[in-house]
Amino acid sequence: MSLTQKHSFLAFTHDPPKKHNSNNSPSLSLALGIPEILERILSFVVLHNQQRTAKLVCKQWYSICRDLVPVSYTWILRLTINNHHNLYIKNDETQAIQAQVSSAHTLIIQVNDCAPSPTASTQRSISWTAMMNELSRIVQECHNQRVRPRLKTLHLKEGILEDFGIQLPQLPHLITLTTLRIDSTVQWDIIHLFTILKACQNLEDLSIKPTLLADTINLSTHFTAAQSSTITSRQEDTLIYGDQALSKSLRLQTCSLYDLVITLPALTAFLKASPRLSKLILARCDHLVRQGQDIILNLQDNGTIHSSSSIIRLVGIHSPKLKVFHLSMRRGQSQSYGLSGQDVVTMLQTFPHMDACNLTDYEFDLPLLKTPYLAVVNRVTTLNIFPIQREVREGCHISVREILCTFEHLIHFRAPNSVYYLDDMDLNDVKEPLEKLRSRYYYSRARPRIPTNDPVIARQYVWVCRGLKTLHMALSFRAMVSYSPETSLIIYGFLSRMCPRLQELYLKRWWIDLSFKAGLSLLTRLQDLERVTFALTYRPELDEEGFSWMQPVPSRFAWGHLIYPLSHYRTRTRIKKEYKGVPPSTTTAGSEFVKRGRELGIDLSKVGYIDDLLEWMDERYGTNTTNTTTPMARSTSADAASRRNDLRYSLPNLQSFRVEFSEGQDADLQSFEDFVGRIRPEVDFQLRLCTRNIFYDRTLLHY
Amino acid sequence: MSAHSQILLTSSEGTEFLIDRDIADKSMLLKCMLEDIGEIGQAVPLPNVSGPILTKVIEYCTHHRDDPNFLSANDDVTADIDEWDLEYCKVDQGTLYELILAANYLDIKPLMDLTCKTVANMIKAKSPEEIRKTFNITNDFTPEEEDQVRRENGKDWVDEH
Repeated sequence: MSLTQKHSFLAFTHDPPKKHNSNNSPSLSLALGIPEILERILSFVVLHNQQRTAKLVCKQWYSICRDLVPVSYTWILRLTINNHHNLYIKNDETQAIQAQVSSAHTLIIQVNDCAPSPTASTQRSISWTAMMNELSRIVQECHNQRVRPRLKTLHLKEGILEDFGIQLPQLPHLITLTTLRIDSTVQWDIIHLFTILKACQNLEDLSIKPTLLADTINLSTHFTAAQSSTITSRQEDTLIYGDQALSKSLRLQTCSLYDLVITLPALTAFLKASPRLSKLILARCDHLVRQGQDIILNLQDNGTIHSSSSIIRLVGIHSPKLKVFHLSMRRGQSQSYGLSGQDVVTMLQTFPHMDACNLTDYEFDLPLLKTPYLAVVNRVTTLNIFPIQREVREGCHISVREILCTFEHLIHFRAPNSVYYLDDMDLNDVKEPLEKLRSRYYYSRARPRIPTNDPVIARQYVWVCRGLKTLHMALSFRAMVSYSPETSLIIYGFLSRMCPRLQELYLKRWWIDLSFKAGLSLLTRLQDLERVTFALTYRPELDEEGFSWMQPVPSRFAWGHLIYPLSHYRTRTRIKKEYKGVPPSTTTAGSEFVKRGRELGIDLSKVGYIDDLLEWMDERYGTNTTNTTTPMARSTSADAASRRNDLRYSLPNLQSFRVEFSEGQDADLQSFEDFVGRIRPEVDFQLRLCTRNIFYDRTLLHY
Repeated sequence: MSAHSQILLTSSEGTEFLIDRDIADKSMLLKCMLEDIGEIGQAVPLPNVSGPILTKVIEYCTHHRDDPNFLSANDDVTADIDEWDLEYCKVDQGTLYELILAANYLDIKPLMDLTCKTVANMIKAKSPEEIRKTFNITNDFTPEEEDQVRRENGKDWVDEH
């Protein structure tokens, strides 16, 4: 439909809808007769994407839905090496753009390309000014016509904002704007923040975050960094107390700010003006300390720690009801950002209701897990440990094991870049015999064994967080890496016992075995599991047998080609043969790990042993798998039927299963996806060759 | 509990309800009124709310009495309704609309959102004609206009230049 048609359609006159004569209560007409109520109801309808039907009900409903349905418009600034080809060429085009911008709920402003040349920079600046003038004119026109502008979300994409100091003040007063996103990694300061908040007083959600492209642009060109370090006290005073002062009742609820240079007085003014703040992310921040303030703040050369604590306390005083708070400050002169262990404790003490910790992987100190800190940190139910910079190195120094064995109330643990040592999952000491099965890949080396007869040690290896629902972590060996697919049996066996309530699993590893004999099916013991992601370096081998467990419990007549081979005794014999040499699980029955597991209600006696997989086969396909009866014959027996009824549906809540790898061929992935799609159509199953960066993919999702 | 921390409300029929101040504060109307004029020791008349509906409203506010996130409870508009709230809304349509009106009048945003969500859920998976019947609405489109809306619905509404 052309714009003209759309606008003529707007001209529907809609009298209040006539009502049928019916027995419906008068409160119905009353309720729906109040426009705010009808609008609220229809806003939920639009959210559920039901607006198409609702628009057909009557003219009034049509009109309301039309205004509620978000319209997105992308305003592209086209830059070329020598000349900028802006959108203002002909009058009729300008009018079309005006019409579209004024009808948009969401406006995305971006550049087509960032040619790093001085000409491009000038072009960008001219075009930005032109765009802002246009936006300003549209806002003014709405004001003159006493119509509220429709714009609610503005997204300034990477590369468009080159210089906060010059460009931001040109932003017109966007009173209806509730969401502002800026992709940027330019360091900026609190003056710019105030400029934004003054221009958009009804903002509820503000995020100024890096993106992959913004980082790339920033590294490849030399954008003018904001002159943050030169804010004088006088400038700051004007900002806080002068004409530029913020309104005292901003509507800001969530605020994610990266690379901000903070000053305490300005931060105080910002917090005071934002009474509704519930989420505050101050990531990779620097604190501007002027001469003289170091004495007031009792800062020393390595004063970052004191500085972080001051900021935490300040936030605590002015925003005591914060639900999510992340602060990462530069630590000393290094390029790393985070808090000290003491700061983490200060944060938890400052916000006594807060049970979520949002940290970077530089800052989790082991002393936190000891008394007297433990009493403070042990209430944490959500612990996020993310890398905060694009150059991601595996966080080996974070003791994931100690965290999981200490925080008994933990429900969500996300540390996708922090390593859990596979050696620490080998409670029954079977890693070596398993590795020996592939002698050609086996690297002989002496390694420390975990004593299995010490109850104190046992408490340090068996997880206490029985209610864990989210688990994100990386897996690695403590010593050198060996190619030993059979150790996957330890991984799956361990996880299937340790966190029985798990709903979301994210595992990062260089490679993982997804075959049947590796025990992937053991994860079906986690009956609440909804989302599984394996983030790998190398492509795993895929075969249908390995994923046969995904098939729902077969009905009497549906022993398919996937189930039958696994239920057959030959498979059992084959697996036993392959794992010949690994001692039977009975050898560890008396270990302290097994005892500790029993105390917590879990059976650890078979973790890592082939018995674990054989037991799973018994649970799923029945103990008669050793006989030679055909499946159909068995299905007729009453015993077998009742046994199958007892079998549980494979992961009934499974929503997504993703395997991502960064190296390898991407051939045949589709056919395998199709195969799983046939047996579990409701599961979003994806195999993808993709380059991942945890900072962009994970950290920015949460912070 | 001392007497001054309780508020007396009178429903449209004159029935009196003695409730704790913190319960009354869930209503922005009552909260602002009590803050402005102070507690005068007399019953606050609520001529627009009947006794049974006021009872339901008080039940809701009492259940969410200690909810620290009361005002932001429904900020996540896509979130599912929790079990208690779901059960609470299992009332006949007349009561539901009266609850909406009461929540609107008393300015209790979470209750307003809950009841509006419930009505929105009634619209789900219904045809336009079924919706008209449910809500007693007359179709005021001409066939040509209706056809135009249908054509418009067929198009993706995201305009990108």
